[in-house]
Amino acid sequence: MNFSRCPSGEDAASEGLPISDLDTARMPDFTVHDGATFLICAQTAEGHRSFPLTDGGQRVEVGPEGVLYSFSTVYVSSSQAVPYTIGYVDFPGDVRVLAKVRGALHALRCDCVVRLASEGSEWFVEPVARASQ
Amino acid sequence: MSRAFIVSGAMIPMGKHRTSSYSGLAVPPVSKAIRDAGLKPSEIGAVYCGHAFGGMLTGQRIVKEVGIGGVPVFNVDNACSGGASAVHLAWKSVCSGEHAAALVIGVDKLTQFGGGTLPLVEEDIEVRNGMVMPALYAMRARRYLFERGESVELLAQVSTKARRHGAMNPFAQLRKPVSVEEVVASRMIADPLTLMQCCPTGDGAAAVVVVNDDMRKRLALPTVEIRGSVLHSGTPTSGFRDMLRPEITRDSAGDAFEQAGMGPEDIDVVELHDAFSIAELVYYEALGLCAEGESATFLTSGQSTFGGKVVVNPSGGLLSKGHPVGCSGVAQVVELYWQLTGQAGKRQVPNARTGMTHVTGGGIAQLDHGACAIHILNALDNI
Repeated sequence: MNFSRCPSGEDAASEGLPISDLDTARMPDFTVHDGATFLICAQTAEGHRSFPLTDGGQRVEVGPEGVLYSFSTVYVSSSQAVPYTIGYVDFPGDVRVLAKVRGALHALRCDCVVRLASEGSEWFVEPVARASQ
Repeated sequence: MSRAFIVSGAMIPMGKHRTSSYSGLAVPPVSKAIRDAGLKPSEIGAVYCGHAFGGMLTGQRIVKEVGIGGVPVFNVDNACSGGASAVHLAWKSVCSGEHAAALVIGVDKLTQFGGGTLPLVEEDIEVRNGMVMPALYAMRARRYLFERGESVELLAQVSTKARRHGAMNPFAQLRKPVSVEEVVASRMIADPLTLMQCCPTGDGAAAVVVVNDDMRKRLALPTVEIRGSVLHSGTPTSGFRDMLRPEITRDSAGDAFEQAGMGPEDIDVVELHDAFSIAELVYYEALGLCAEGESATFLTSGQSTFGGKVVVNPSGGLLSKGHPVGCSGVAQVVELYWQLTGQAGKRQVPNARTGMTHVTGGGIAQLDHGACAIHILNALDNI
């Protein structure tokens, strides 16, 4: 057989190694610029964006504001201390992210504007107080 | 491709059976289904066992107790769709001519977790961020109430209907009728969903025997034909998704109707995936039982209960009958086998000829659901 490149069985090439997608220290979820928090997303060659950033994707940042599609305060959970509030947030560029929601929860409603924030190693969103809302 | 038929079905009452193992749960319905089919265990050509939390070799642990061995045993996990996925595989194996008779088992034991929400896969980014199944449906409910201008009392009416039906079902876990006020006032689980809008934690097992045309003629038993059997996985998207228009259910239903040569207007009885109250409303529309935007009226006008256009969840559904995850898809098929062969007792849907089962499975990031299985079953006139 005439292989144009190294036979697959002879080379443990980098593309065949496991993806370290649980290593958050290697790929942080967010970054902060001038006090504003942005999520670090991946963008494909076709322009599709997704969160979080994974190996092979081009790094792009989204935020700091998005629109809260829906939300719920959770009172029973098998994995986290309750209560806590989570919601789906749609960011520009067609990126939807499940986010922890903090701040003035009474101000939450579907389609309200929320803003990314962070504290230590955690990121979350808070409702934005605007007269139009 | 030839045809496949269900000639027997059995289940145990759903409930908290803490002193039973997985085989302890499943052996009684397995034995009964095989016995009712008039078959010897040695005539079962293959076993398909749906479960989500049974651990290694669940199917083998069960069937060895009834003398089945040597044949292929497939253990099928597709979250809440595991049992229905097992039915789908059995249907395929019989239709392809590979086996004349296949046994399907659905079983799960949720009391092993001690209560609370189902443990999801921590590798998933949304699960790491706090996603639990009630929250997923709660967000769907919140959006529904927001877009449709409805109130939580509407959601509660799904639960009162489920309990009303379940009160007639000796296999149901929750059989006490409840009022709208009781549902709304019950403990909050994930706002706006209260406890009585969530399926209970429980254990269960169910079994059916699927056979080919020659075998069903030989057995001459009350029989239903599997006219449609469809299994879809979710389509990933990293962007906007309309939570009120679940495409996995809509697409699966469309394919199932096409396969069966039928439409929603042909369906007399449905067992659908009402794991949470909001789900039933959304799935009325996604399955084509009513027009888009009309689910609230469909429920409140009585179109989905006895005397209405189509009886949805006569068993009480997952909200009342219970939802032992991998068991549910098979238990739905057993319920429709009984309904379509006139064996459903007090909850019998009069003159039911054609039915549909529907389950979805799983909550993982970027998918509406991980799996959706739909079966369309038809009573057979000439045994």
